[in-house]
Amino acid sequence: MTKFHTPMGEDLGRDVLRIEDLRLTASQGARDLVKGVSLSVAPGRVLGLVGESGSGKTLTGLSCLGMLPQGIERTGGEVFVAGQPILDLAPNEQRRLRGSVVSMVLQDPLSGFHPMLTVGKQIFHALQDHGVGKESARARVLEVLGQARLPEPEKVSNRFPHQLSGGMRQRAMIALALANRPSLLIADEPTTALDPTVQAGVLRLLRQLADDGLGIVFVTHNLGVVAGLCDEVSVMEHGLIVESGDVAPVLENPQHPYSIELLSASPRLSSPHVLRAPLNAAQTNEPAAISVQGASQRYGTRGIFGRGAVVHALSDVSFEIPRGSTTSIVGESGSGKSTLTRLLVGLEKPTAGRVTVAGQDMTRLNPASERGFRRKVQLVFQDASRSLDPRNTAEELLLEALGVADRKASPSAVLELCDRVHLPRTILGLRTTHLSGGQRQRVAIARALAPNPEILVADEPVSALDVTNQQRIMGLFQELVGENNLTLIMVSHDLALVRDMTDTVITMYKGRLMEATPAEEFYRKPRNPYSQALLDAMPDPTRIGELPTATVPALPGRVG
Amino acid sequence: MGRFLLRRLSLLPVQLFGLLVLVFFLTRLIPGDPAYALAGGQATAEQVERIRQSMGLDQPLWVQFWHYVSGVLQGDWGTSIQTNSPVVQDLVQRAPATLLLMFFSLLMIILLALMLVGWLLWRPQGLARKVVSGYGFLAGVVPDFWVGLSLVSLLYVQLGIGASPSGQLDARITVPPVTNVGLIDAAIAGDPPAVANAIAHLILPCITLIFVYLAPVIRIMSAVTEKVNGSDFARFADSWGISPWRRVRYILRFTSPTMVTTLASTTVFLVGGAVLVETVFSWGGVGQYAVAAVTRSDYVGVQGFVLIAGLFTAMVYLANDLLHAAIDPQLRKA
Amino acid sequence: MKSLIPTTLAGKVGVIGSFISVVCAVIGPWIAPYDPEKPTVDVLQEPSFTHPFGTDASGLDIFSVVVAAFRTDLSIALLGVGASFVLGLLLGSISGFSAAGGRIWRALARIVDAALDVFQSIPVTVFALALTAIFGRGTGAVITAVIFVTTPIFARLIRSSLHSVVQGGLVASCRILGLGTIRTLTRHALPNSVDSAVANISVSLGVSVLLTAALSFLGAGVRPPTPEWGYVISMGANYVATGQWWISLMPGLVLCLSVVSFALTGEAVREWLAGAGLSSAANEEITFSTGQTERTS
Repeated sequence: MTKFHTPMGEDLGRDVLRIEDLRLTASQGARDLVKGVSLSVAPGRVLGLVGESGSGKTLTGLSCLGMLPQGIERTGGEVFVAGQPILDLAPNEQRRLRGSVVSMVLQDPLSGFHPMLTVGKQIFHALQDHGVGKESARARVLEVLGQARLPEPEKVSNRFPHQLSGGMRQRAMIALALANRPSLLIADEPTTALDPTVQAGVLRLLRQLADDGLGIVFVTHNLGVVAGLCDEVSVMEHGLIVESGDVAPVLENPQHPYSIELLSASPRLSSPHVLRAPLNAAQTNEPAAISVQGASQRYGTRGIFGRGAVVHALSDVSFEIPRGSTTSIVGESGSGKSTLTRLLVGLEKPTAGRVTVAGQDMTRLNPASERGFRRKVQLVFQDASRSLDPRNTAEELLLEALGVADRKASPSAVLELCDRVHLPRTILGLRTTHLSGGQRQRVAIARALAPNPEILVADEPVSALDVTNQQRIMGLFQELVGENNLTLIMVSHDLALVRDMTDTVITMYKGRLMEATPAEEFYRKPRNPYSQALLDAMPDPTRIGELPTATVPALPGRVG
Repeated sequence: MGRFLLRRLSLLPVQLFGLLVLVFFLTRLIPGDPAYALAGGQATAEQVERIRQSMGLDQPLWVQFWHYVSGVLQGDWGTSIQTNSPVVQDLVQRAPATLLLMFFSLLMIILLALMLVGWLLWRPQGLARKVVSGYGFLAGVVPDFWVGLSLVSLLYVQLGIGASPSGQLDARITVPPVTNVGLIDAAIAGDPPAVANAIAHLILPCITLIFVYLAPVIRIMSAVTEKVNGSDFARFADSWGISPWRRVRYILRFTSPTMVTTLASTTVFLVGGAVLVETVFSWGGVGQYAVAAVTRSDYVGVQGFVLIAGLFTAMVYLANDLLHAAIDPQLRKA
Repeated sequence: MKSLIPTTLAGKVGVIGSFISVVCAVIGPWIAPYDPEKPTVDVLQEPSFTHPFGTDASGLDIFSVVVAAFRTDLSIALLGVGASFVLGLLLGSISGFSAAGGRIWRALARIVDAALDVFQSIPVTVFALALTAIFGRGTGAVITAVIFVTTPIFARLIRSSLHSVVQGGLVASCRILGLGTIRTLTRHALPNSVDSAVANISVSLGVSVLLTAALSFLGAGVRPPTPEWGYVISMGANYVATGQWWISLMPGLVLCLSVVSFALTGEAVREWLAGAGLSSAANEEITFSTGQTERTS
C-alpha cells in the first residue's frame, strides 16, 4: 500500500515536483520499465528514491528533467516541475527549465564535465545560456562555488575537472547545477563513488541546501544515507513504488516485504549481533598464516632530468594474521590496501621489508615456488565480469581451475564446487556474461576454492553488487570460513559490511597502518583517531536524522 | 607544458635515426651487387668501380652507414641517375608544386569536415545523416588515380570544367620559373590569364584528393561524434540547459583530439595520394619524380624521396602531438 | 547453428559480390570471352554487345582482361593479408603481452615497438613503391609490399587489445590461479583480443587490392602482360582526355565493387559472430545514459 504525505489534489503550486502515475516503456521489446509511479516533493524537503538496479529509479529521476534516453518513451502519466508538465513541453521550452528550475548531478563528475574547459568556464557558460550578462555571471560563478563550500573559489574556478579531487569535483558539479537557482535538484547517486569521509561532507552540503529551500530527489540504493539525509523516502521495485512516507516510520517499521528485505540487508554499525570474541590463546600459538614486517612499496618514475613523481603506496606496514582467523583491511582510496593485497598474493614484490605468506617469503617467490604457493593462497577479485574469461562457460572455468591445481578435473568435482558456493547446477553450461552479478561472483569464489587453499584474500568482493546480494555473498564467506578453517582476508572500504564476521580490523590511511585491533574492541572504541573518523562517517539506516560526521584529523600517529 | 615539450622533442632524434637506418638498409637490400645497382643499368665497368670507391661499398657496413649519415646531414643525398643532378636539388625544385596541391586539398578537407560534422550535430536526424553515411561509405574503397581519371572524363571532357591533365599550366603558356609552382609563378609575373589557367589546372587534381581523402575523415568523425552525443558528458550539459549552438561547439571541442589525429594521418596519406595524382595529371612534383626513379631503378633518387617523405611524416606527427597537448589539458600535467 | 544468410541487404550484396569475385578468380581466364592477352582487330571500340567493356588501343577486350585480373589481385590479397595476419598476431603478442612476461620478453617487445614505429614513419604508398624498387617489380615484390604495409596494422590492433585485456584483470586472475604465461596468452588473452584484428581482415583485403592496382598503375607493380586492373587503367589513361573513357573507367568500377564487397562481407561476418555470441565485444552490459551499469540480480 502506498502512503502519500500530501493528499492528491493539493494545489500544484506548492510542490516543486509532482509525478502522477508515470509510465515509461522501452520501445524495443515493449517492456514497461516504470509502471505507474506517483510522488511529490515540497520545497526544502529531501526525498530519497531507493531501489536496486532495474527498479526504474534512475529513469524516474531523468523524467523530471524531461530527458528520457533513446528508445524509452512515456506511455502514461505526468511530471509537473514547479507546476509545469515538463514532458509535454516543446524542446526549447524544456531547455529553458533545465538549469533554472530543475537540475541534476551525476554519480561521476569526471565524465559529466567537459574535460578541456575549466570548471569556472563551464559554470559561466551555464549562466550565459540562461541570459545572464557577463559581469553578473562572473560574480555568480564565485558565489556559487562558495555556496558549495569549496575553499578558495577563485582557484577552483580556474582548475580543470581532472585537477580536482573527487569530493571537490562533486561539489563543483553541485555548484554548476545550482548556478541558475533551480528549485529542484535531482541527485543520482552523487556520493556512491566517494570515500565515506568525503561522502559525509557532500551529504551535509546537500542537507544545508535543502534547509535553504532547495527541493531534492536523492536517488540511491543505500538506506543508510537515506536515514541520515532524507525527510521522506519512496522505495521502488521493478518499476513500482512499493512503499513511501516519512523516513522515520518507513525505516523503523517497514510494511512491504521488499522494504523489509532491503532494510535487513543494509549493513549497519549498530546491529545487535554479537561481535566475535577475541581469539583464545591456544589458537595463537601456531605460526602465523601471514606475517608482514616493515613492508614498503614505492612506485617511482624518474623524469629526464632526474625529477619524477615517486609514490609511496605503502610505508612501513607490520602486522600478523593467525591461522583460521578473519581479518578485515579497511581504508579509503589511496590508503594502500590494494597494493598490500597485491603483495600478499604475489602479484608484486615489496621494495622493502619482509612479507611471509603461508610460509613463503614473498621476496623470494620464483616460478618454482610459485606453483605450490598458488595452491595455498587464492584471491577473489572485485569485478568478476572483468577477471573471468567471457568466452568460457562456468563449467570450463571450474574445470580449468581444478586442472591447474592438479586436482581431478572431473565433472563431479565441478558439481561439488558448485554446491559449496550454492550455485544452481543449471548455470554451468552458461557463459559468465549471461549470469547475474551475484552468480558471477560465486563462480569466481568457486574457482578460488578449487585448489583447496589455506588462505583466501577477497578484494572488495561485493562492492559491485546490489545490497541484497551483498549480504548473501558475505554470508557465503562466513560459511566457507567455518567449514574449511580458512584464513580470510577481507579488503573493504565499508566498516559496517565486515562488522559481523571479522575477528580483527586493520585500518589503513595513505599507505600507513593505523591500527590492527580485535573487532570487539574496535567497534566499541578504536584506538586510533582516524579509525574513529571512519566509523563516524559510516551511514547507518537506524540512525535517522543523524548525518555522518565529516572530519578527518591530520595524519595521526600510529597506535596498536 | 615546457617539460612535455622537452620530452616530446627528445624523441625526435631517435625517430630520425630509425628513419635513416631504414632508408640506408633499403638500398642495401637490393639483390646483387649494390655498386651495379647504384650505378645504373647503362654504366660501364669503370663507372661501376668508381661508384664502388666513392660510396665506399667495399667498406664494412657501419662505416658505410656513417658515411651515408654524415653525407645526409651535410646536404649531400647523392646524385640522381635520371637527372644527373644532386637529389637534394631535384627534390627542392619539385617540392613546392606538391606542397601546393597538398595544402589546398588539406585546407578544403578541414573546412568541409567541420561543416559536415557540424551539420550532422545540428540536425542529427535529417539529410545530414544520409549524406554523411553515404559518403563515408566510400572511405577506403575508391582508388585515387581512378577517381582522377573519372573526373577528367566526367568534368573536363563532358562538362568542360577544369583543364586537361597536362601539368600545372597549358603547354602553350610559359612563365619565368621562380618557384616552379605554376600558380605562384604566374602571380609573380603578373600574368592574369596565366593565373586563371593555373587555377583551372589545379581544380581537378584537388577535387580528386579531396573526394578520396575526405571520406575517411568524415567516417571517423561522424562515428565519434555520434558516440559522444549520447554520452554522460552531453547529457549533463543538456541537464543544465546548454544552448543548441553551444552544444555543437562543446562536442566539436570534445572530439577535437580525434580530429587532430585523423587529420595528421590524412596528411600522411595525402603524400601517397600526391604520388598517384601527380602521375595522372603530369603535375611535375616530387611524386612524379619518385615514380620515375622507381621505374628507372634510380636507387639514389628513391632513397632521397623516401627520406624526405619520412622527414615530412615525422614533422606531421610532431605537430600532431604538440597540438594534442595544446588542446587537451589532461596531457599537459605529465 | 545460426543461419549463414546475412540479415541486412548490404550483407547480402557483399556476400554475393565476394562470391562472384572468388568465382572469377578461380575460373576467370576460362570464362572470359576473349583471350585477355591476345589482341584482336577491333581497336578502340566503345562498349557494345560483343565487347561489353570495349577494347583498347591494341584491340584487347577489356572485359576479358578485367575478369582475368580477379585472379591476380585476389591471390596477391589473400597471400599478402594471410601472411600479415599471422605475422601481426605474433608481433602484436610479443609487444602487447610484455607486461606479463619476463625481462627477455620485455626487451623483445621494445625492439618490436621500435620497428613498428619506424615502419609507421613513412607513408604507405611511398614505402610500397620503394620496396618494389628494391625487390624488382613483379607479383612477389607486390606481395612483399602488402605484407610490409598491413602487418603493422594487425600488430597494433592485437597489441592494444591485449593491453586492455591485461589492464582488465583477466591476466592477473589467470596468474593467481597458477596458469603459466604462454597458456594464459593462448587460451585466454589472445582469443579475447583477436576480434578487432579479424574485423580488419576484410578491410585489409581491400587495401591490398587498391595497393596492387596503384603500384601496377605506376608501372611498379605486376609485370605485364599479367592481367591487372591498375595496369589496364594506366593503359587507358592517355585516352581519357580524348574521350575513350572505357579503358580506364570500367576496370576501376569493377575494382571498387570488389573492394566494397569485401568490406560488406566483413561487416556481415562480424554481425554473425556477434549474434552467435562468439564475439567478446558483443557481451557488454546495458548502460543507461547516466553511465551506471545495470546490474542484473
